[in-house]
Amino acid sequence: MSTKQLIENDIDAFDKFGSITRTLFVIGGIFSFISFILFFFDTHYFYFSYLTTYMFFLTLTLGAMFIVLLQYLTTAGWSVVIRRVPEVLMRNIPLMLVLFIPIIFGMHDLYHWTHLDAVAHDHLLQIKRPWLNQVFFFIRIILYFFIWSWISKTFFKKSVLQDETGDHQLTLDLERSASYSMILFALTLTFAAVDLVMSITPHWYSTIFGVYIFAGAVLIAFSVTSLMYMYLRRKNLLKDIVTVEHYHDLGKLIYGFNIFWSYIAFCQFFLIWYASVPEETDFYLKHFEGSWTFVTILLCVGHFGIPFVFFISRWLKRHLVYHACMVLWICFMHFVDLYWIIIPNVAPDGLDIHFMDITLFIGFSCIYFAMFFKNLNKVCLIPKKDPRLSESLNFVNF
Amino acid sequence: MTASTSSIVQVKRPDLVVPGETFESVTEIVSRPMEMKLPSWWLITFCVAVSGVLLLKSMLAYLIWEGIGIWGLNNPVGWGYAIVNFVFWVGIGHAGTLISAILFLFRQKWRTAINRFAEAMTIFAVICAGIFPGVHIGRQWLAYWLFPIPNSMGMWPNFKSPLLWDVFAVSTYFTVSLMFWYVGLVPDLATVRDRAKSKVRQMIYGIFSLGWRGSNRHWQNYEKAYLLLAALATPLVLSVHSIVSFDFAVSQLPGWHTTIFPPYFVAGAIFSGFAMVVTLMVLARQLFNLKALVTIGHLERMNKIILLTGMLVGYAYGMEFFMAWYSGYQYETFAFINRATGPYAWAYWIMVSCNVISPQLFWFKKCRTSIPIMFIVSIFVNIGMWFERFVITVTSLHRDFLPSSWGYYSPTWVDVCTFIGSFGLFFTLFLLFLRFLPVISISEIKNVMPEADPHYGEEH
Repeated sequence: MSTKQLIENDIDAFDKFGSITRTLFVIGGIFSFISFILFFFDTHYFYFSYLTTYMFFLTLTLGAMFIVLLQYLTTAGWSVVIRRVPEVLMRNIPLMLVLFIPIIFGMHDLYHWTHLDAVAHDHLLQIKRPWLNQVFFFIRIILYFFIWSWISKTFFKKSVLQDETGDHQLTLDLERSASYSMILFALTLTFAAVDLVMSITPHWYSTIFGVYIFAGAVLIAFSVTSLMYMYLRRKNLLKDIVTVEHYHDLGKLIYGFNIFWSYIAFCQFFLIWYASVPEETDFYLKHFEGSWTFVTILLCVGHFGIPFVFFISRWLKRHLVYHACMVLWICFMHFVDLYWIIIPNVAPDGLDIHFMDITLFIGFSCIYFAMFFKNLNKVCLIPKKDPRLSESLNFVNF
Repeated sequence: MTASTSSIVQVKRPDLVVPGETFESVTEIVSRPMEMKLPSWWLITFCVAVSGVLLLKSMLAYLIWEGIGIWGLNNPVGWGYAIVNFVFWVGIGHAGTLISAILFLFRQKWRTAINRFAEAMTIFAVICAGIFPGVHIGRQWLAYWLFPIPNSMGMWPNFKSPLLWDVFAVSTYFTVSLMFWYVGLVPDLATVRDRAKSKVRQMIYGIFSLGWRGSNRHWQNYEKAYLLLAALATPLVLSVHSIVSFDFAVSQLPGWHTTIFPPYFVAGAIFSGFAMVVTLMVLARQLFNLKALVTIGHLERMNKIILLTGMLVGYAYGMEFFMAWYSGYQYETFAFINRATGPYAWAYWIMVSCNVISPQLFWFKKCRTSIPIMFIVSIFVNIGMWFERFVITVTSLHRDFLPSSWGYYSPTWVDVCTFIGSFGLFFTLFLLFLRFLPVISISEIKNVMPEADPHYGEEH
């Protein structure tokens, strides 16, 4: 089978996604508008709901960045043909920066530590003042986005450039920069998790929290990657290039990272439960209040139990319809996870699903994926001149 | 275009076995240490190691005779060398399962040159580790109480205690590692059997190779078993050291109770395990002339893993410090400032410089591929990881909540000699392994050679 024939058939995506981009923009616009109206009904709740959705897509974007960095860092061969989607996903960092603006307006609602009068009477928050203050918060956010844009831009540009020039040196360059980029990525992701999510409950602290968010991020990114390739497959694209072998491997990674998430989630809960120190248990007690207990159990069963049992088999990972259902379920569970972390702070009495939770999510995701397809329109669907392409094309599980 | 043609060569995957070696020569290289005349260096080191075992034995006998009082433990510091050595040895035993299970599932073919070696190390290290909690209990003749054995007294161990989980975790780990190692050994034992010149040798290796004939059916079952054991061993890589970390982290003691402990201990264990593999591999490949199979490329990859896990450990140190301050919890903050500036600051800074700073040399290819440098760094890492456990255990305990119960812990000569003795035990077992078993997996190495490709030799 010659690589050349395969490639020329369907990898040049130019303008294949024009209509879907437009549709998504329209739907996204409508739902954003509805959400905007709902904003005036319950401003306070809106910001928490917005942050939940925002974190969902931020973790997706950062997880995609991790995938790209990881492939270069480990000089992976099998994954070359599935690298383009994560590359385009991580190109949404500028979009995430723009969509950060509502959070700036909602700071006062979201973050208790911005209330200076409350801080004045709170000994713990006074100790944390050097870290939790608005000026330094903004400096850090700018720094994170600067680093993320820089990484995503470098890796995206060079990879796309290689499609034209075929210069192998680019791969070697990226393999080199993947190492220190990974360190920057780890640090920024950790502190972003602390700043954006952990500081909602400002008294609470947990050293593993960054790893917890990271685990979810990688999981969602692999899941969405797999889904996107299945979407392309339905459009008759890349059918003989991204084969069931690649889905199988993606499935293994999704399965593995799902268990990794469970492991981290369990460790965090278990150690806090066992030691029972009041500052720490505060966080978990909220999640056993009223109907939140149900969500907690749903997370244990749905995020860990169901994929653990029903995604273990080789056959199921290779059955694409089944694979897609499972991955969608995992995406849903990732949302539940973030919802479960963030929303109890605003709805302490119990689960109270608001209409805007749904409209915001739909609006946000349509805009997000519209941007994704808009960027995908401009590039080839696979890194067609990557030096390890043939390794990936001929890859089989044994 | 000329620039890119030259770089094509660099992008090509490096050879896992030095080109020119054949199936036959691989068998020769690995079998030689078992069949050659006993080298004098082996005999000398073996004598030294055995005297270490004798030292260990006498220390343990003295301990059982005299009681725990001969150790340096005191009132605030009730856990000292014994637990430090236990965690140290369990950690050393981590590289084996990681290499054999996780790297196997990740299709890291370079593992074939080092997996046998690392797995053997795992088993011996866990044996050494097992001694310490066993003798720490005070009444060693009741050691079987560690296990929940139904008894007429109606007495049970505390199932809520992580110390009991440790018993299960470590023994499961040991069992699975041993099985994995043995299953992998079977085809190679058969090779040694077939090459044996004496009847006795043939019989002994024959028994242990379980009638292996290398038939297609044998291979199929073997590979299935290997894959299943790899999958079973993978969660164990995480679970053992997570549970060891629970010994500390479930408490409320500042410096012990922190949620990052489980993954941090796992990363640390892999770190120390790889360091020990590098230390010993550098020596073994030199002494037994295995350079064709364990190339600089293999060592370089191991050094990269050391660099990675070293930084993971550094991340955990950093997070602990940051959160100690961020928590605003005065005891937590004190515990960490005291670590870095208190009476045990020397131990803390040894730990940081060995574990975080010294592996940074591996950013440079020159250092990653230089035998002397990697040997020294790996020794540093071993030292640093021992000190990490010392810092965690002792510095957290020696400052109790009330200043009236502050103290300082120093080991006695018995502590030190027991620790040295455990190295004797480790090296005794290891030297026996080097002499009597194939140190590199012959069949797996052959699998990753170009000759193993079904299309090898075809014109394309």
